[in-house]
Amino acid sequence: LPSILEEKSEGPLSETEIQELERQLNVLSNHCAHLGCPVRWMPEEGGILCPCHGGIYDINGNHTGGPPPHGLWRYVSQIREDGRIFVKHEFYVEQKGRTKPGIYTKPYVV
Amino acid sequence: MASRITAQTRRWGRDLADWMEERTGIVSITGKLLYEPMPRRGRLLYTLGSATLFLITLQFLTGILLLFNYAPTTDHAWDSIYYIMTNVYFGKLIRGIHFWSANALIVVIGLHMVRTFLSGSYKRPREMNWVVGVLLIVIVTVMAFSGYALRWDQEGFWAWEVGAMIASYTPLIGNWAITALLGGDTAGPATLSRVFALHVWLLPAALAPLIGIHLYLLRKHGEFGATFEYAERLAALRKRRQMEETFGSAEEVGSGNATDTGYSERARDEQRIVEIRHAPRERVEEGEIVTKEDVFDRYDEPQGFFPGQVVVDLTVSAILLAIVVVLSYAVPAPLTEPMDVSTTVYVPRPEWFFFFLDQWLVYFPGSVLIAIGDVIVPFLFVLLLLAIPWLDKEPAHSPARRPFVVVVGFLVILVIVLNMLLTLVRIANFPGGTPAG
Repeated sequence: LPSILEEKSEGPLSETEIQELERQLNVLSNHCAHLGCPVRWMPEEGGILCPCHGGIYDINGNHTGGPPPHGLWRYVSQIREDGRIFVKHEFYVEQKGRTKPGIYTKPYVV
Repeated sequence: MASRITAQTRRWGRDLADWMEERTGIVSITGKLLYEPMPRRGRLLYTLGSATLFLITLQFLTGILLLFNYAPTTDHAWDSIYYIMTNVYFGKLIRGIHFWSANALIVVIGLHMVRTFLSGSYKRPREMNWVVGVLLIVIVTVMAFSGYALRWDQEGFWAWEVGAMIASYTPLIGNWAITALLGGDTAGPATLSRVFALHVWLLPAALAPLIGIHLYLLRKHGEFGATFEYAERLAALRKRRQMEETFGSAEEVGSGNATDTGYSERARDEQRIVEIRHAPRERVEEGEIVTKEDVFDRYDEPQGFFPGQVVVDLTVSAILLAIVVVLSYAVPAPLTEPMDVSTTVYVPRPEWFFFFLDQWLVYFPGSVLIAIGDVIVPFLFVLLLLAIPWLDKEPAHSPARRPFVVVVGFLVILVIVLNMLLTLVRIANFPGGTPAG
């Protein structure tokens, strides 16, 4: 967790704090880039694992092993001043490959 | 008095039968259907086909009953099934029969296909019946796949998502395919509507006429292997030779009958049925060769479809019905937690009949190989199945006489079974469902 969050418990976030948080934040799809199974964080292995066919990703969602063709999908997100994360109904994948329609939930506010 | 009533009833019955026969031809059709000659030998093996038909009929009946309570909406699908399982009269039984007979159907239709393959029953002139059969097995598989997505629970939803994602790797039409299967670019209400439309309307509507064609072609060519046809042909040859000897050439004899169809044809059929039913049970002599193909190694004694085969068919169907009824109470049809698309704990695992395919998916990493392994290879496999009658043109039917084809078929089955076992091992190490706690 970014240190800002530990120090700060209330009050609006400043511009620099938002930038700092956004830099450290990944909003990843929980759907494996292989065949869409729900992935999970494995604390012992320090990676994200898909239980269906063994796709493995690192903490940033980059593909490190198994059958997936690319890393996890990332959602377009913003951090608002009140500390909420706004996730857009839009995603991208940081790789040369073309983007595919993913399966994801409606836009939601965390 | 009693005898008078009996006689009167009998006469009314006969009058009614005659009346219907004159207007619909139903009596002679029924007779033709019931007294179709069947080989005595294949009795038990032939029940696989009738058992498949019986289980599909059960699917239609219980499926219609489920529709009385099922709600195909994302809000209510899961709840309506929960309601069927807990509140509806015989709901557990109806859904249990639908679920278990679907599982049994996959087993029986698979065995039916293996039997047909081993006995070489796809050979001329039955090629098209094999093709229809392959289409039927493909449709049944997709029905099974879409069926459990309708539950809109974790198991069904994630299986459908994996299926849709596999389709998205289809070359050229991938994006279109996944959009069509999901009803948009996300899984949502339209997804369930699509699954519902497929499972309840489109696929059954395709299935029913194909079953009709399958049965029509079955009856057109008969249940006998090549032997019987050749035996009949032999009899026809003998008869013609006899007639030629007696009356002159075949053309002269045949010309008189050319315009005379209809009644005489039916009478001939009836005559043939009587002949077959009362024919002395004697084997055609060993080594009596009609054509260059040695066909008499498979000579079968005929029996009427009714009652001989009907009794065996009904017995097997009754046993299957008993099994699915017991199972529907002993092991109720499953319903996992309601669908939760944002889960990070649920472990999707396929139904057992997709185990081999699931294992197959592990072997192909990266978008190019995924497209090849998960889409193109299965597609080619179906094409291969369709092409079997043209690939194996060996005239012999017995599996012992076609070692190459049988060994290839055996290897395919071995690959499927081994992959199923590998998936079982994988699942044992990382069980499906939501981990407890």
